[in-house]
Amino acid sequence: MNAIELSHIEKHFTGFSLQDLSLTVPSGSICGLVGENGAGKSTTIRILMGALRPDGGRARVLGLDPASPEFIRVKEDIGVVLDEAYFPEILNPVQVGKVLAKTYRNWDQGMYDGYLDRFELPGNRPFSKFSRGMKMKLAIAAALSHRPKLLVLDEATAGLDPIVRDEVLDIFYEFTREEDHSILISSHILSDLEKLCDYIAALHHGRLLFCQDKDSLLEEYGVFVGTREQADALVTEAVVYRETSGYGGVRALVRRSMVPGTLDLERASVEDIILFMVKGAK
Amino acid sequence: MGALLIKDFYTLNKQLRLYILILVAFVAFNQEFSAVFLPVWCSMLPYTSIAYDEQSKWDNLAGMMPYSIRALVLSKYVFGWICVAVITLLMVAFQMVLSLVGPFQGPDYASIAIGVCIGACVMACSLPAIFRFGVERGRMLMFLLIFVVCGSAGGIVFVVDKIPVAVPVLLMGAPVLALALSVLSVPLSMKAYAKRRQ
Repeated sequence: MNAIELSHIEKHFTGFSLQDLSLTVPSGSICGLVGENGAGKSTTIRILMGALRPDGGRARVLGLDPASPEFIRVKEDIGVVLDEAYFPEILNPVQVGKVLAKTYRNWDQGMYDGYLDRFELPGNRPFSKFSRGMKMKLAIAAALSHRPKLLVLDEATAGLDPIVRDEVLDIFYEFTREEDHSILISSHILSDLEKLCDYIAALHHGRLLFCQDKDSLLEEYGVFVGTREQADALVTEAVVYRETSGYGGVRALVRRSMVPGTLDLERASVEDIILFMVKGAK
Repeated sequence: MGALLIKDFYTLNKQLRLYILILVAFVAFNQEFSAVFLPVWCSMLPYTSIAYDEQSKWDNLAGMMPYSIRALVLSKYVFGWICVAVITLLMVAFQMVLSLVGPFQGPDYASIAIGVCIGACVMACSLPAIFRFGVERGRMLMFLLIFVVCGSAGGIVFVVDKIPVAVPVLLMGAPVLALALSVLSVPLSMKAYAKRRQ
């Protein structure tokens, strides 16, 4: 079963359109959603959470159409962390817990209290006095404490210092130890996604550049670094995008299978692949 | 909806305490004025609650949680009705206590009933616009409503003085009007809120 299935999704706004978006997140996997600001990541997340109706296409999340009235039950199984915590800032973590206990039938107060302890969050201090890291930790504690099967994370690690980010990524790993637990995470921090994800989906100007499993993506592409003459000798289809580096050299993202085996290629990181592809798409 | 009501009460906890202090002051100074003013003033608490929601962008998160549009909208009405009911009960109780201990008259139930109905009408008329345009842009309508309410109150007092039979008509008509407006207002607000979210 797939946790998320989006098929030919269209959504049009003035000045921006999400076009023909199809992506699948198999149950039990972690999918990273990447793209520049305004690429359509948050719109995609709002559509799959039923907060926005698409103009066309078909969406299914945990087996149900997010636009259907029954989807409200499915939301009980989805934990969401957005780029901000978005709880009224006058509330404190204890009060947030009480509100969420009345919201989710599966709410686990013990688990929530455990996360508050683990994150060293003071229960009675108003949320407005929290640092960004503390706010995001509270949002993560809230999202995990109703025992969701799917975590949807929209820039949830943005602005966190590396230590907190590492701690948070560990928690996401822990979450996916259960077979049927899945994560969709959108982030600009590509190194995090490379570490965490099984699949990577890249959006650019509202269109999907690719959605592929990470290992095959890293196997498929390599970075060529050489002279202009060497680069010119490559078959056109092998080169995704090339750019000149200093002193007339060339750096290019290439398809390994189309490049002569005698040529040494550098390992392409997810960041390399996405940057070159976006530049190529321009 | 219980969760949303708890959230609103936590959010406005400090304001609600302040309202009780203001109630005591108003009732002690002018019982007749407070009978109408306090319920109407309390009926505006949902806007404060919506303003806090807008400030924290709560709607972004609420849209992803298992709350229906109906629950999100209706909770603001219910919150307002509860606040009006509680403040009215406290006002009646305080007026009774004052009448026992000092030279104060007891509660004027007719004025209080009219005040409660006006409060419900104010909420019913203004909330759809607030849900559609937000608190900032909906504020103009609020000022207009306050102007209309104040003008109507003067008119009602004039009519009641001149035509005594108008009192029972008013007492019968006001709840019917408040109920009818509320019944129309809730679905209108739901449509307005759904449209705004898209």
